[in-house]
Amino acid sequence: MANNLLEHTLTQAFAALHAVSEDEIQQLSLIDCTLTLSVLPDNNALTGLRSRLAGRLWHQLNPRWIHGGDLGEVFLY
Amino acid sequence: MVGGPYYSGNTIEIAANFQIARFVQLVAKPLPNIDILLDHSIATKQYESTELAHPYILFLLATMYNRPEIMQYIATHRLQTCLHRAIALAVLKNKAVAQQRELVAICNEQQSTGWWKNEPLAENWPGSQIATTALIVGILAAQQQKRANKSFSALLRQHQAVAQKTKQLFDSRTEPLRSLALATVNKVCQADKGFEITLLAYFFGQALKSSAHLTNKQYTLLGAASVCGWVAYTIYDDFLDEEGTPVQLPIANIAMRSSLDCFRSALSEDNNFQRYVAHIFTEMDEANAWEVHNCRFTVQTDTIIIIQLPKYGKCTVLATRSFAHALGPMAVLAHHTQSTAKKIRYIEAAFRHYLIARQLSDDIYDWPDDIQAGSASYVVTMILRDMRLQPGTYTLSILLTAMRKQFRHTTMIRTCELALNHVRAARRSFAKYELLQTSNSIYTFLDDLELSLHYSLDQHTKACALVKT
Repeated sequence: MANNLLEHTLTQAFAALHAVSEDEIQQLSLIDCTLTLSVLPDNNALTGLRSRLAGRLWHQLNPRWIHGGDLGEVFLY
Repeated sequence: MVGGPYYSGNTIEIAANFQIARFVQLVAKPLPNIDILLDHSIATKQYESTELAHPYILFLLATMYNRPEIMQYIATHRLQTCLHRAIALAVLKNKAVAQQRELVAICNEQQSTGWWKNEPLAENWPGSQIATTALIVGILAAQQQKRANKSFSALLRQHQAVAQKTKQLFDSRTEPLRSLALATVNKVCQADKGFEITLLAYFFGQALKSSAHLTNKQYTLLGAASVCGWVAYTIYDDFLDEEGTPVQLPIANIAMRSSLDCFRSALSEDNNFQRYVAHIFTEMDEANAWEVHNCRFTVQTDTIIIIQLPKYGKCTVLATRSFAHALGPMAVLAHHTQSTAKKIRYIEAAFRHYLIARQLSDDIYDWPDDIQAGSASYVVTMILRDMRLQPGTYTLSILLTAMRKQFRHTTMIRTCELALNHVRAARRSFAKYELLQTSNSIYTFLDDLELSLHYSLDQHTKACALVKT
């Protein structure tokens, strides 16, 4: 029973995450984006989302931002 | 200060240093100064302070430090939200009941949209629904993987027990038969990566809604019966294809008798089932005889003589000639108290559909070898029928080229669709009397077969599109 419940729950969650739009990804804070990317499991259903999250970070974390950015956006304190 | 600890303004924030430590741990070596600071904060239980007792910080702590006091704290405190429960689930070890409780609570909190409610992840971090759901999903997926690994280890042990039992059956034979037989059994068992030969009866027993009450010893015997049947018919098939090795024939004979003995020992008081086993093996021999008589072309170097094409009808012969494969599950069903003659017929029909689909799926890849060996497999026959080929003598290499074209053009898609129809029919027959759980290993075999057929169709479509460009 529990195995089925876990499988069903994950299937539902994967479907919801898979359907996240580009706008929603752009609206994520830097740290939300980082955390989401770092904890998502390596599952085929989430490959697209992982690559879009990585793209969002890759665009933001350029040398200019690293020099002039706010560390508070990266480390919470 | 180089190497930390790091200041936030004039103060050393433990949370910030935790995160820096995690980052450095991921990309380089741990920083000793930070580790000293964090050791001290753990020893003085600073993680219990309000600003640190947030899900993300606790998650970092649990990920970075396998310290009993932290695990104890997470396991016994702060279980009021889904994220805290998920983090507790990640750190609970050897506490199956508590894990189960947390797991069910987390799953029940999922919204119908698939999301969990957003929870703040730390003191100044409101978080987001995406991040909250991702963190929970990461932890749940790790749990699922752990369960799968545990379950795989248990299956591997069961598989090894079957292999061992089968080898015992040949162990007291004299040389050279003993070594040859053990090598053949090893080969069959090692090739059985999905345990479909050794454990099909066991999988079927687990798939039933109510237990069949078979002992482990009975499942092992049914597995050994299946391996022996497989060994015997693999050798017999080689002879039927005129490729047999005479030294293997005694192995096949002993394996065949051992298979019958194992079925007898597994269900010793069920004479009806023993008659059923004998009947199935007889039907297999009849099917093989039909195949040798009707499905052979004469091949001489590059010449093939085609006199008549076999009539496969509804493909039932494809299931009949390999039905020993399903005898293990049928034994489990015979022992099951909720079985009736009607239910048994449906399950038998389901396995027959499955075996047909599997054979068609294999034939799709094997047909060029089959025609060159003079074998009129189902797919070979369908290609030749699609070509409207007249009886006669043909140059094999020229015929093969024309057959490849026809196969790509029509037969490939038709055969895949036919196989998919049999997969669907199998699923309907299995589900008919609701004897099986809605999710089980037998359905997984069907899913895998269906997926591979869809993949073949997809590859075929892409290849055709490429040729057109």
